[in-house]
Amino acid sequence: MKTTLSILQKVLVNHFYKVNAGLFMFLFFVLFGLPYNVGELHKAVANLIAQNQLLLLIVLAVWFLYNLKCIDYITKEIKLPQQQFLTCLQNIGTKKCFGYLCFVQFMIFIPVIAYAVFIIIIALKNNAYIVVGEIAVFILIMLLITPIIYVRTLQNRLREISFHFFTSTVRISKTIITIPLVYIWNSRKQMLLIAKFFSLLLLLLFIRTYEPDHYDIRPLLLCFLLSTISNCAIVFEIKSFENNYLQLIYNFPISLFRRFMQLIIMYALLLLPELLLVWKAYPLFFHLTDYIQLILASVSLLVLLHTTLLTGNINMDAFIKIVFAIAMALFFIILYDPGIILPVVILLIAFGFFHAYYHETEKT
Amino acid sequence: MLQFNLIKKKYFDATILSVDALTINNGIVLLQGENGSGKTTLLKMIAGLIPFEGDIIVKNNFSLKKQRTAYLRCINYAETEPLYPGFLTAQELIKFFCNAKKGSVAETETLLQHLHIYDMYKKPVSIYSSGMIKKLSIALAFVGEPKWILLDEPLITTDKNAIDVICNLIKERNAKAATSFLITSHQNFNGAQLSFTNKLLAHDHTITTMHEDNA
Repeated sequence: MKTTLSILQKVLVNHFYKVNAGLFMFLFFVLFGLPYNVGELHKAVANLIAQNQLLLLIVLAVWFLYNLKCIDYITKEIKLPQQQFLTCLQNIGTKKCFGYLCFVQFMIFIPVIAYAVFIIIIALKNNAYIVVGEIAVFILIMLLITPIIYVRTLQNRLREISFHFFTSTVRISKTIITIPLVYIWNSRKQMLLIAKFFSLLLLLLFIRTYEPDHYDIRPLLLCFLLSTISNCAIVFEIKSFENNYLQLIYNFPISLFRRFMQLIIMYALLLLPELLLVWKAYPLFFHLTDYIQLILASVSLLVLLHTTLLTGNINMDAFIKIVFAIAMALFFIILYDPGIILPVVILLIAFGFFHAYYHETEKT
Repeated sequence: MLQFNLIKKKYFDATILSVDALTINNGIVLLQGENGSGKTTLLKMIAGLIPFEGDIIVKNNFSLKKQRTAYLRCINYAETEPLYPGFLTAQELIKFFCNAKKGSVAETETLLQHLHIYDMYKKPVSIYSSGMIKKLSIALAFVGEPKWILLDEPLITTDKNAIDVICNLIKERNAKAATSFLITSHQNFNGAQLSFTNKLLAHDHTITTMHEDNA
Protein backbone atom coordinates (compact mmCIF):
# COMPACT_ATOMS: atom_id res chain seq x y z
CA MET A 1 0.00 0.00 0.00
CA LYS A 2 2.79 2.40 0.94
CA THR A 3 4.58 1.66 -2.32
CA THR A 4 1.45 2.39 -4.36
CA LEU A 5 0.83 5.66 -2.53
CA SER A 6 4.47 6.61 -2.94
CA ILE A 7 4.33 5.92 -6.70
CA LEU A 8 1.11 7.91 -7.09
CA GLN A 9 2.65 10.73 -5.07
CA LYS A 10 5.73 10.81 -7.32
CA VAL A 11 4.03 10.24 -10.67
CA LEU A 12 0.89 12.36 -10.29
CA VAL A 13 1.04 14.66 -7.24
CA ASN A 14 4.64 15.89 -7.32
CA HIS A 15 4.51 16.35 -11.08
CA PHE A 16 1.30 18.38 -10.75
CA TYR A 17 3.00 20.84 -8.39
CA LYS A 18 6.08 20.97 -10.62
CA VAL A 19 4.05 21.73 -13.73
CA ASN A 20 2.00 24.37 -11.92
CA ALA A 21 4.84 25.88 -9.90
CA GLY A 22 4.42 29.16 -11.80
CA LEU A 23 0.78 29.47 -10.82
CA PHE A 24 1.45 28.63 -7.18
CA MET A 25 4.34 31.05 -7.02
CA PHE A 26 2.16 33.76 -8.46
CA LEU A 27 -0.65 32.97 -5.99
CA PHE A 28 1.78 32.97 -3.10
CA PHE A 29 3.15 36.31 -4.26
CA VAL A 30 -0.34 37.82 -4.55
CA LEU A 31 -1.74 36.35 -1.32
CA PHE A 32 1.26 36.79 0.95
CA GLY A 33 3.62 39.17 -0.79
CA LEU A 34 1.56 42.34 -0.60
CA PRO A 35 2.98 45.15 1.52
CA TYR A 36 0.17 44.98 4.11
CA ASN A 37 -0.29 43.14 7.38
CA VAL A 38 -0.93 39.81 5.67
CA GLY A 39 -2.56 38.07 8.67
CA GLU A 40 -5.03 40.88 9.25
CA LEU A 41 -5.76 41.19 5.54
CA HIS A 42 -6.65 37.50 5.22
CA LYS A 43 -8.74 37.62 8.41
CA ALA A 44 -10.66 40.56 6.95
CA VAL A 45 -11.14 38.72 3.64
CA ALA A 46 -12.31 35.55 5.44
CA ASN A 47 -14.73 37.61 7.54
CA LEU A 48 -16.15 39.15 4.39
CA ILE A 49 -16.57 35.72 2.79
CA ALA A 50 -18.25 34.37 5.94
CA GLN A 51 -20.75 37.22 5.92
CA ASN A 52 -21.48 37.58 2.23
CA GLN A 53 -23.09 34.72 0.26
CA LEU A 54 -22.25 36.28 -3.11
CA LEU A 55 -18.58 36.52 -2.20
CA LEU A 56 -18.67 32.93 -0.95
CA LEU A 57 -20.17 31.87 -4.28
CA ILE A 58 -17.32 33.58 -6.14
CA VAL A 59 -14.76 31.83 -3.94
CA LEU A 60 -16.43 28.44 -4.51
CA ALA A 61 -16.47 29.15 -8.24
CA VAL A 62 -12.71 29.82 -8.18
CA TRP A 63 -12.13 26.58 -6.25
CA PHE A 64 -14.31 24.73 -8.75
CA LEU A 65 -12.20 26.15 -11.57
CA TYR A 66 -9.10 24.89 -9.77
CA ASN A 67 -10.75 21.47 -9.48
CA LEU A 68 -11.41 21.45 -13.25
CA LYS A 69 -7.71 22.09 -13.69
CA CYS A 70 -6.94 19.12 -11.40
CA ILE A 71 -9.32 16.86 -13.35
CA ASP A 72 -7.86 17.97 -16.66
CA TYR A 73 -4.32 17.33 -15.47
CA ILE A 74 -4.93 13.90 -13.88
CA THR A 75 -7.06 12.51 -16.72
CA LYS A 76 -4.53 13.63 -19.33
CA GLU A 77 -1.62 12.32 -17.26
CA ILE A 78 -3.23 8.90 -16.77
CA LYS A 79 -3.65 8.58 -20.54
CA LEU A 80 0.02 9.28 -21.31
CA PRO A 81 1.89 6.26 -22.73
CA GLN A 82 4.51 6.38 -19.95
CA GLN A 83 1.75 6.20 -17.31
CA GLN A 84 0.06 3.17 -18.87
CA PHE A 85 1.42 1.04 -16.03
CA LEU A 86 -1.10 2.75 -13.72
CA THR A 87 -3.88 0.75 -15.39
CA CYS A 88 -2.70 -2.21 -13.26
CA LEU A 89 -4.50 -0.43 -10.38
CA GLN A 90 -7.71 -1.85 -11.85
CA ASN A 91 -6.64 -5.30 -10.66
CA ILE A 92 -6.98 -4.37 -6.98
CA GLY A 93 -10.69 -3.64 -7.29
CA THR A 94 -12.69 -0.49 -7.86
CA LYS A 95 -13.10 0.44 -4.18
CA LYS A 96 -9.38 0.26 -3.39
CA CYS A 97 -8.54 2.02 -6.62
CA PHE A 98 -11.01 4.76 -5.65
CA GLY A 99 -9.29 5.02 -2.26
CA TYR A 100 -5.89 5.53 -3.85
CA LEU A 101 -7.22 8.16 -6.22
CA CYS A 102 -8.97 9.91 -3.30
CA PHE A 103 -5.47 10.26 -1.85
CA VAL A 104 -4.26 11.82 -5.12
CA GLN A 105 -7.21 14.23 -5.21
CA PHE A 106 -6.66 15.16 -1.55
CA MET A 107 -2.99 15.88 -2.16
CA ILE A 108 -3.52 18.12 -5.17
CA PHE A 109 -6.49 19.83 -3.53
CA ILE A 110 -4.51 20.70 -0.37
CA PRO A 111 -4.07 24.41 -1.23
CA VAL A 112 -7.88 24.80 -1.41
CA ILE A 113 -8.46 22.64 1.70
CA ALA A 114 -5.98 24.73 3.72
CA TYR A 115 -7.69 28.00 2.81
CA ALA A 116 -11.14 26.44 3.32
CA VAL A 117 -10.16 25.35 6.86
CA PHE A 118 -8.98 28.90 7.57
CA ILE A 119 -12.31 30.37 6.39
CA ILE A 120 -14.24 27.72 8.37
CA ILE A 121 -12.39 28.70 11.57
CA ILE A 122 -13.22 32.38 10.99
CA ALA A 123 -16.83 31.49 10.14
CA LEU A 124 -17.14 29.44 13.35
CA LYS A 125 -15.92 32.45 15.32
CA ASN A 126 -18.66 34.50 13.63
CA ASN A 127 -21.23 31.75 14.35
CA ALA A 128 -21.84 31.52 10.59
CA TYR A 129 -22.69 27.79 10.71
CA ILE A 130 -24.46 27.78 7.34
CA VAL A 131 -21.28 29.01 5.65
CA VAL A 132 -19.29 26.32 7.50
CA GLY A 133 -21.71 23.70 6.22
CA GLU A 134 -21.65 25.03 2.68
CA ILE A 135 -17.87 25.03 2.52
CA ALA A 136 -17.56 21.59 4.15
CA VAL A 137 -20.11 20.03 1.76
CA PHE A 138 -18.42 21.66 -1.27
CA ILE A 139 -14.99 20.34 -0.26
CA LEU A 140 -16.35 16.86 0.44
CA ILE A 141 -18.08 16.75 -2.94
CA MET A 142 -14.88 17.82 -4.68
CA LEU A 143 -12.85 15.22 -2.77
CA LEU A 144 -15.24 12.33 -3.29
CA ILE A 145 -16.79 12.90 -6.72
CA THR A 146 -13.62 13.83 -8.59
CA PRO A 147 -11.79 10.50 -7.92
CA ILE A 148 -14.71 8.70 -9.58
CA ILE A 149 -13.80 10.51 -12.80
CA TYR A 150 -10.18 9.39 -12.36
CA VAL A 151 -11.24 5.77 -11.77
CA ARG A 152 -13.41 5.79 -14.88
CA THR A 153 -10.57 7.30 -16.90
CA LEU A 154 -8.26 4.58 -15.64
CA GLN A 155 -10.81 1.96 -16.68
CA ASN A 156 -11.09 3.65 -20.10
CA ARG A 157 -14.78 4.08 -19.46
CA LEU A 158 -14.55 7.81 -19.96
CA ARG A 159 -13.49 8.59 -23.45
CA GLU A 160 -12.19 12.05 -22.85
CA ILE A 161 -12.67 14.78 -20.32
CA SER A 162 -12.49 18.02 -22.19
CA PHE A 163 -13.90 21.36 -21.36
CA HIS A 164 -15.35 23.16 -24.30
CA PHE A 165 -15.84 26.47 -22.52
CA PHE A 166 -15.90 28.35 -25.76
CA THR A 167 -15.93 25.95 -28.67
CA SER A 168 -13.38 27.34 -31.05
CA THR A 169 -15.39 27.89 -34.19
CA VAL A 170 -13.30 30.89 -35.20
CA ARG A 171 -10.91 29.94 -37.99
CA ILE A 172 -7.47 31.28 -37.22
CA SER A 173 -4.76 31.23 -39.83
CA LYS A 174 -2.01 28.89 -38.62
CA THR A 175 1.34 30.63 -38.73
CA ILE A 176 4.50 30.43 -36.63
CA ILE A 177 2.95 33.20 -34.52
CA THR A 178 -0.46 31.66 -33.98
CA ILE A 179 0.26 27.91 -33.80
CA PRO A 180 1.68 28.03 -30.22
CA LEU A 181 -1.24 30.22 -29.10
CA VAL A 182 -3.76 27.85 -30.68
CA TYR A 183 -2.01 25.00 -28.87
CA ILE A 184 -2.38 26.81 -25.54
CA TRP A 185 -6.05 27.51 -26.33
CA ASN A 186 -6.71 23.89 -27.35
CA SER A 187 -4.60 21.92 -24.91
CA ARG A 188 -3.87 24.19 -21.97
CA LYS A 189 -7.20 25.98 -21.74
CA GLN A 190 -7.49 25.68 -17.97
CA MET A 191 -3.99 27.02 -17.46
CA LEU A 192 -4.73 29.92 -19.81
CA LEU A 193 -8.05 30.76 -18.16
CA ILE A 194 -6.66 30.62 -14.64
CA ALA A 195 -3.59 32.67 -15.55
CA LYS A 196 -5.75 35.27 -17.29
CA PHE A 197 -8.30 35.25 -14.46
CA PHE A 198 -5.69 36.10 -11.83
CA SER A 199 -3.81 38.45 -14.10
CA LEU A 200 -6.93 40.45 -14.99
CA LEU A 201 -8.31 40.28 -11.45
CA LEU A 202 -5.10 41.73 -10.04
CA LEU A 203 -5.14 44.52 -12.59
CA LEU A 204 -8.80 45.28 -12.00
CA LEU A 205 -8.45 45.27 -8.21
CA PHE A 206 -5.52 47.66 -8.47
CA ILE A 207 -7.39 50.04 -10.78
CA ARG A 208 -10.51 49.96 -8.56
CA THR A 209 -8.81 50.30 -5.18
CA TYR A 210 -5.68 52.40 -5.68
CA GLU A 211 -6.22 56.17 -5.57
CA PRO A 212 -3.17 58.10 -6.71
CA ASP A 213 -2.70 61.57 -5.23
CA HIS A 214 -0.49 62.63 -8.13
CA TYR A 215 0.41 61.27 -11.57
CA ASP A 216 2.99 58.51 -11.45
CA ILE A 217 3.19 55.62 -13.92
CA ARG A 218 5.31 53.43 -11.62
CA PRO A 219 2.58 51.88 -9.40
CA LEU A 220 0.55 50.86 -12.47
CA LEU A 221 3.70 49.62 -14.23
CA LEU A 222 4.61 47.48 -11.21
CA CYS A 223 1.12 46.02 -11.07
CA PHE A 224 1.09 45.48 -14.83
CA LEU A 225 4.40 43.61 -14.75
CA LEU A 226 3.12 41.45 -11.87
CA SER A 227 0.08 40.75 -13.99
CA THR A 228 2.33 39.90 -16.94
CA ILE A 229 4.40 37.51 -14.82
CA SER A 230 1.30 35.42 -14.10
CA ASN A 231 1.64 34.34 -17.76
CA CYS A 232 5.05 32.79 -17.10
CA ALA A 233 3.67 29.23 -16.94
CA ILE A 234 2.23 29.80 -20.43
CA VAL A 235 5.65 30.94 -21.67
CA PHE A 236 7.13 27.69 -20.35
CA GLU A 237 4.39 25.66 -22.07
CA ILE A 238 4.93 27.45 -25.38
CA LYS A 239 8.66 26.72 -25.27
CA SER A 240 8.04 23.04 -24.42
CA PHE A 241 5.54 22.83 -27.28
CA GLU A 242 8.08 24.31 -29.70
CA ASN A 243 10.70 21.79 -28.57
CA ASN A 244 8.33 18.85 -28.91
CA TYR A 245 6.34 19.66 -32.04
CA LEU A 246 7.89 22.53 -33.96
CA GLN A 247 11.51 21.47 -34.34
CA LEU A 248 11.15 21.58 -38.11
CA ILE A 249 10.72 25.36 -38.05
CA TYR A 250 14.47 25.50 -37.41
CA ASN A 251 14.78 24.19 -40.97
CA PHE A 252 12.68 27.05 -42.37
CA PRO A 253 14.60 29.74 -44.28
CA ILE A 254 13.64 32.58 -41.94
CA SER A 255 16.16 35.10 -40.65
CA LEU A 256 16.91 35.33 -36.94
CA PHE A 257 15.58 38.88 -36.74
CA ARG A 258 12.27 37.89 -38.32
CA ARG A 259 11.95 34.96 -35.90
CA PHE A 260 12.54 37.39 -33.02
CA MET A 261 9.88 39.76 -34.36
CA GLN A 262 7.46 36.83 -34.62
CA LEU A 263 8.14 36.09 -30.95
CA ILE A 264 7.36 39.69 -30.02
CA ILE A 265 4.08 39.66 -31.97
CA MET A 266 3.07 36.32 -30.43
CA TYR A 267 3.51 37.59 -26.87
CA ALA A 268 1.77 40.88 -27.73
CA LEU A 269 -1.22 38.78 -28.83
CA LEU A 270 -1.05 36.72 -25.63
CA LEU A 271 -1.13 39.93 -23.58
CA LEU A 272 -3.99 41.46 -25.52
CA PRO A 273 -6.58 41.01 -22.69
CA GLU A 274 -4.34 42.82 -20.19
CA LEU A 275 -3.46 45.53 -22.72
CA LEU A 276 -7.16 46.16 -23.35
CA LEU A 277 -8.25 45.99 -19.70
CA VAL A 278 -5.64 48.52 -18.64
CA TRP A 279 -7.58 51.18 -20.59
CA LYS A 280 -9.92 51.23 -17.58
CA ALA A 281 -7.09 53.06 -15.84
CA TYR A 282 -6.97 55.80 -18.48
CA PRO A 283 -6.49 58.76 -17.97
CA LEU A 284 -6.15 58.70 -14.17
CA PHE A 285 -3.24 56.21 -14.02
CA PHE A 286 -1.46 56.69 -17.31
CA HIS A 287 -1.15 59.14 -20.17
CA LEU A 288 -1.30 58.10 -23.79
CA THR A 289 2.46 58.35 -24.22
CA ASP A 290 3.03 56.00 -21.28
CA TYR A 291 0.83 53.32 -22.86
CA ILE A 292 3.68 52.50 -25.24
CA GLN A 293 5.88 51.95 -22.22
CA LEU A 294 3.28 49.57 -20.73
CA ILE A 295 3.05 47.57 -23.98
CA LEU A 296 6.80 47.38 -24.48
CA ALA A 297 7.56 46.56 -20.86
CA SER A 298 5.06 43.70 -20.62
CA VAL A 299 5.81 42.18 -24.02
CA SER A 300 9.59 42.49 -23.60
CA LEU A 301 9.34 40.79 -20.21
CA LEU A 302 7.63 37.71 -21.68
CA VAL A 303 10.07 37.68 -24.60
CA LEU A 304 12.95 37.82 -22.12
CA LEU A 305 11.47 34.92 -20.13
CA HIS A 306 11.11 32.94 -23.37
CA THR A 307 14.70 33.61 -24.43
CA THR A 308 16.08 32.59 -21.03
CA LEU A 309 14.60 29.16 -21.78
CA LEU A 310 16.86 28.99 -24.85
CA THR A 311 20.00 29.12 -22.73
CA GLY A 312 19.82 25.44 -21.78
CA ASN A 313 17.53 22.64 -20.70
CA ILE A 314 15.80 24.63 -17.99
CA ASN A 315 13.14 22.80 -16.00
CA MET A 316 10.15 24.42 -14.33
CA ASP A 317 11.88 24.70 -10.95
CA ALA A 318 14.84 26.57 -12.40
CA PHE A 319 12.54 28.69 -14.55
CA ILE A 320 10.52 29.81 -11.53
CA LYS A 321 13.73 30.93 -9.84
CA ILE A 322 14.68 32.89 -12.97
CA VAL A 323 11.23 34.50 -13.11
CA PHE A 324 11.43 35.42 -9.44
CA ALA A 325 14.92 36.92 -9.83
CA ILE A 326 13.88 38.96 -12.89
CA ALA A 327 10.71 40.16 -11.10
CA MET A 328 12.71 41.28 -8.07
CA ALA A 329 15.30 43.06 -10.22
CA LEU A 330 12.57 44.84 -12.21
CA PHE A 331 10.79 45.88 -9.01
CA PHE A 332 13.83 47.84 -7.82
CA ILE A 333 14.72 49.19 -11.26
CA ILE A 334 11.18 50.55 -11.80
CA LEU A 335 11.37 52.43 -8.50
CA TYR A 336 14.13 54.55 -10.09
CA ASP A 337 11.72 55.42 -12.92
CA PRO A 338 13.87 54.42 -15.94
CA GLY A 339 11.05 55.20 -18.38
CA ILE A 340 11.14 53.77 -21.90
CA ILE A 341 14.81 52.80 -21.45
CA LEU A 342 13.85 49.78 -19.33
CA PRO A 343 11.78 47.89 -21.94
CA VAL A 344 14.30 48.77 -24.65
CA VAL A 345 17.12 47.32 -22.54
CA ILE A 346 15.04 44.22 -21.74
CA LEU A 347 14.39 43.71 -25.46
CA LEU A 348 18.08 44.13 -26.26
CA ILE A 349 19.03 41.56 -23.62
CA ALA A 350 16.35 39.21 -24.93
CA PHE A 351 17.68 39.60 -28.49
CA GLY A 352 21.19 38.96 -27.17
CA PHE A 353 20.03 35.64 -25.69
CA PHE A 354 18.07 34.85 -28.84
CA HIS A 355 21.03 35.55 -31.11
CA ALA A 356 23.46 33.58 -28.97
CA TYR A 357 21.34 30.54 -28.18
CA TYR A 358 18.52 30.06 -30.73
CA HIS A 359 20.53 27.80 -33.02
CA GLU A 360 23.06 26.69 -30.45
CA THR A 361 20.95 24.86 -27.89
CA GLU A 362 19.92 21.22 -28.01
CA LYS A 363 16.14 20.93 -28.24
CA THR A 364 15.23 18.17 -25.83
CA MET B 1 27.08 19.33 -53.55
CA LEU B 2 27.38 19.19 -49.78
CA GLN B 3 30.73 19.96 -48.19
CA PHE B 4 31.54 19.14 -44.59
CA ASN B 5 34.34 21.03 -42.89
CA LEU B 6 35.68 19.85 -39.53
CA ILE B 7 32.31 18.65 -38.30
CA LYS B 8 32.06 17.47 -34.72
CA LYS B 9 28.93 16.63 -32.77
CA LYS B 10 29.11 15.95 -29.07
CA TYR B 11 26.48 15.05 -26.52
CA PHE B 12 27.90 16.01 -23.16
CA ASP B 13 31.50 14.80 -23.47
CA ALA B 14 30.91 11.92 -25.86
CA THR B 15 31.71 12.49 -29.53
CA ILE B 16 28.82 11.14 -31.58
CA LEU B 17 30.05 12.15 -34.99
CA SER B 18 33.27 13.59 -36.34
CA VAL B 19 33.94 14.34 -40.02
CA ASP B 20 37.08 16.25 -40.91
CA ALA B 21 36.40 16.70 -44.62
CA LEU B 22 33.79 15.14 -46.85
CA THR B 23 32.07 16.11 -50.06
CA ILE B 24 28.81 14.52 -51.13
CA ASN B 25 28.19 14.98 -54.82
CA ASN B 26 24.75 15.64 -56.22
CA GLY B 27 22.58 12.64 -56.96
CA ILE B 28 20.63 10.09 -55.01
CA VAL B 29 22.78 9.07 -52.07
CA LEU B 30 22.19 6.28 -49.61
CA LEU B 31 23.50 6.57 -46.06
CA GLN B 32 23.75 3.30 -44.19
CA GLY B 33 24.95 2.28 -40.78
CA GLU B 34 24.03 0.46 -37.59
CA ASN B 35 21.60 1.83 -35.03
CA GLY B 36 23.26 4.65 -33.10
CA SER B 37 25.95 5.19 -35.74
CA GLY B 38 24.94 8.83 -36.21
CA LYS B 39 22.83 8.75 -39.40
CA THR B 40 19.91 10.75 -37.99
CA THR B 41 22.30 13.09 -36.19
CA LEU B 42 24.04 13.82 -39.49
CA LEU B 43 20.75 14.52 -41.25
CA LYS B 44 19.59 16.80 -38.44
CA MET B 45 22.91 18.65 -38.58
CA ILE B 46 22.57 19.17 -42.33
CA ALA B 47 18.97 20.35 -41.84
CA GLY B 48 20.14 22.91 -39.27
CA LEU B 49 18.07 21.39 -36.47
CA ILE B 50 20.84 20.75 -33.99
CA PRO B 51 24.00 22.66 -33.10
CA PHE B 52 27.47 21.31 -33.88
CA GLU B 53 31.06 22.40 -34.35
CA GLY B 54 32.34 23.05 -37.89
CA ASP B 55 30.40 24.04 -40.98
CA ILE B 56 28.42 22.61 -43.89
CA ILE B 57 28.32 24.27 -47.29
CA VAL B 58 25.74 23.62 -49.99
CA LYS B 59 26.08 24.38 -53.73
CA ASN B 60 29.68 25.66 -53.13
CA ASN B 61 28.03 28.84 -51.93
CA PHE B 62 25.94 28.86 -48.81
CA SER B 63 27.36 28.11 -45.42
CA LEU B 64 25.02 26.93 -42.68
CA LYS B 65 26.87 29.05 -40.14
CA LYS B 66 27.31 32.18 -42.24
CA GLN B 67 24.33 32.29 -44.64
CA ARG B 68 21.81 30.24 -42.69
CA THR B 69 18.66 31.55 -44.38
CA ALA B 70 19.96 31.03 -47.92
CA TYR B 71 21.39 27.65 -46.90
CA LEU B 72 18.10 26.44 -45.41
CA ARG B 73 16.27 27.38 -48.61
CA CYS B 74 18.31 24.60 -50.25
CA ILE B 75 17.61 21.89 -47.67
CA ASN B 76 14.39 20.05 -46.83
CA TYR B 77 14.11 17.28 -44.29
CA ALA B 78 11.69 14.49 -43.37
CA GLU B 79 12.14 12.89 -39.95
CA THR B 80 12.06 9.18 -39.12
CA GLU B 81 9.19 9.58 -36.70
CA PRO B 82 7.56 12.90 -37.53
CA LEU B 83 5.54 14.64 -34.83
CA TYR B 84 3.12 17.44 -35.65
CA PRO B 85 0.71 19.35 -33.42
CA GLY B 86 -2.37 17.12 -33.35
CA PHE B 87 -4.85 19.97 -33.81
CA LEU B 88 -3.45 20.97 -37.21
CA THR B 89 -4.86 19.51 -40.42
CA ALA B 90 -2.74 18.37 -43.37
CA GLN B 91 -4.15 21.35 -45.27
CA GLU B 92 -2.93 23.78 -42.60
CA LEU B 93 0.47 22.11 -42.38
CA ILE B 94 0.90 22.28 -46.14
CA LYS B 95 -0.02 25.96 -46.23
CA PHE B 96 2.34 26.55 -43.30
CA PHE B 97 5.24 24.79 -45.05
CA CYS B 98 4.47 26.29 -48.47
CA ASN B 99 4.45 29.76 -46.94
CA ALA B 100 7.84 29.22 -45.31
CA LYS B 101 9.45 27.29 -48.17
CA LYS B 102 7.80 29.22 -51.02
CA GLY B 103 6.19 26.08 -52.38
CA SER B 104 3.06 25.31 -54.34
CA VAL B 105 0.04 24.11 -52.36
CA ALA B 106 -1.50 22.53 -55.47
CA GLU B 107 1.64 20.47 -56.21
CA THR B 108 1.77 19.20 -52.63
CA GLU B 109 -1.92 18.30 -52.79
CA THR B 110 -1.17 16.23 -55.88
CA LEU B 111 1.57 14.46 -53.93
CA LEU B 112 -0.95 13.61 -51.21
CA GLN B 113 -3.26 12.18 -53.85
CA HIS B 114 -0.42 9.99 -55.17
CA LEU B 115 0.25 8.82 -51.63
CA HIS B 116 -3.47 8.10 -51.06
CA ILE B 117 -3.93 10.34 -48.03
CA TYR B 118 -5.78 13.20 -49.69
CA ASP B 119 -9.11 11.97 -48.23
CA MET B 120 -7.89 13.07 -44.81
CA TYR B 121 -6.64 16.43 -46.07
CA LYS B 122 -8.94 18.51 -43.90
CA LYS B 123 -8.82 16.27 -40.83
CA PRO B 124 -6.54 16.97 -37.84
CA VAL B 125 -3.36 14.89 -37.87
CA SER B 126 -4.18 13.57 -34.39
CA ILE B 127 -6.41 10.97 -36.07
CA TYR B 128 -3.79 9.92 -38.66
CA SER B 129 -2.05 6.55 -38.41
CA SER B 130 1.74 6.55 -38.12
CA GLY B 131 1.99 5.51 -41.79
CA MET B 132 -0.18 8.44 -42.88
CA ILE B 133 1.88 10.90 -40.83
CA LYS B 134 5.01 9.45 -42.42
CA LYS B 135 3.57 9.96 -45.91
CA LEU B 136 2.55 13.52 -45.00
CA SER B 137 6.07 14.29 -43.76
CA ILE B 138 7.52 12.99 -47.02
CA ALA B 139 5.11 15.16 -49.01
CA LEU B 140 6.14 18.17 -46.88
CA ALA B 141 9.80 17.43 -47.61
CA PHE B 142 9.07 17.96 -51.31
CA VAL B 143 7.64 21.46 -50.75
CA GLY B 144 9.43 24.29 -52.56
CA GLU B 145 12.58 24.05 -54.63
CA PRO B 146 15.26 22.59 -52.38
CA LYS B 147 18.57 21.46 -53.80
CA TRP B 148 18.75 18.59 -51.32
CA ILE B 149 15.99 16.55 -49.70
CA LEU B 150 17.00 14.54 -46.67
CA LEU B 151 14.81 11.51 -46.02
CA ASP B 152 15.35 9.67 -42.77
CA GLU B 153 14.08 6.10 -43.10
CA PRO B 154 11.40 7.03 -45.66
CA LEU B 155 10.22 3.44 -46.07
CA ILE B 156 9.41 2.51 -42.50
CA THR B 157 5.70 2.27 -41.63
CA THR B 158 4.79 2.74 -45.30
CA ASP B 159 2.99 0.12 -47.37
CA LYS B 160 4.39 -1.51 -50.51
CA ASN B 161 2.42 0.65 -52.93
CA ALA B 162 3.54 3.80 -51.16
CA ILE B 163 7.18 2.64 -51.33
CA ASP B 164 6.88 2.42 -55.13
CA VAL B 165 5.24 5.85 -55.26
CA ILE B 166 7.95 7.39 -53.06
CA CYS B 167 10.73 5.86 -55.14
CA ASN B 168 9.12 7.18 -58.34
CA LEU B 169 8.75 10.64 -56.79
CA ILE B 170 12.42 10.65 -55.87
CA LYS B 171 13.52 9.60 -59.37
CA GLU B 172 11.17 12.09 -61.01
CA ARG B 173 12.25 15.06 -58.86
CA ASN B 174 15.90 14.15 -59.34
CA ALA B 175 15.49 13.94 -63.12
CA LYS B 176 13.29 17.03 -63.60
CA ALA B 177 14.56 19.50 -60.99
CA ALA B 178 18.03 18.05 -60.35
CA THR B 179 17.16 17.79 -56.71
CA SER B 180 19.59 15.59 -54.80
CA PHE B 181 18.55 13.15 -52.11
CA LEU B 182 20.30 11.85 -49.03
CA ILE B 183 18.41 8.84 -47.78
CA THR B 184 18.94 6.64 -44.77
CA SER B 185 17.35 3.21 -44.82
CA HIS B 186 17.59 -0.15 -43.15
CA GLN B 187 15.58 -1.69 -45.95
CA ASN B 188 17.24 -2.72 -49.16
CA PHE B 189 15.99 -1.06 -52.32
CA ASN B 190 15.95 -3.17 -55.39
CA GLY B 191 17.57 -1.70 -58.47
CA ALA B 192 14.25 -1.26 -60.24
CA GLN B 193 12.85 0.81 -57.37
CA LEU B 194 15.78 3.14 -56.92
CA SER B 195 19.42 3.18 -57.91
CA PHE B 196 21.92 5.22 -55.97
CA THR B 197 24.67 7.37 -57.38
CA ASN B 198 26.68 7.08 -54.20
CA LYS B 199 26.59 5.17 -50.93
CA LEU B 200 27.89 6.40 -47.57
CA LEU B 201 28.59 4.49 -44.41
CA ALA B 202 28.15 5.81 -40.89
CA HIS B 203 30.57 3.87 -38.75
CA ASP B 204 32.98 4.49 -35.90
CA HIS B 205 31.54 7.97 -35.29
CA THR B 206 32.38 9.15 -38.79
CA ILE B 207 31.04 9.06 -42.35
CA THR B 208 32.93 7.43 -45.21
CA THR B 209 32.19 6.67 -48.83
CA MET B 210 31.41 2.99 -49.30
CA HIS B 211 33.56 1.07 -51.70
CA GLU B 212 31.79 -0.86 -54.40
CA ASP B 213 32.68 -4.23 -52.86
CA ASN B 214 31.11 -3.15 -49.55
CA ALA B 215 28.11 -1.53 -51.14
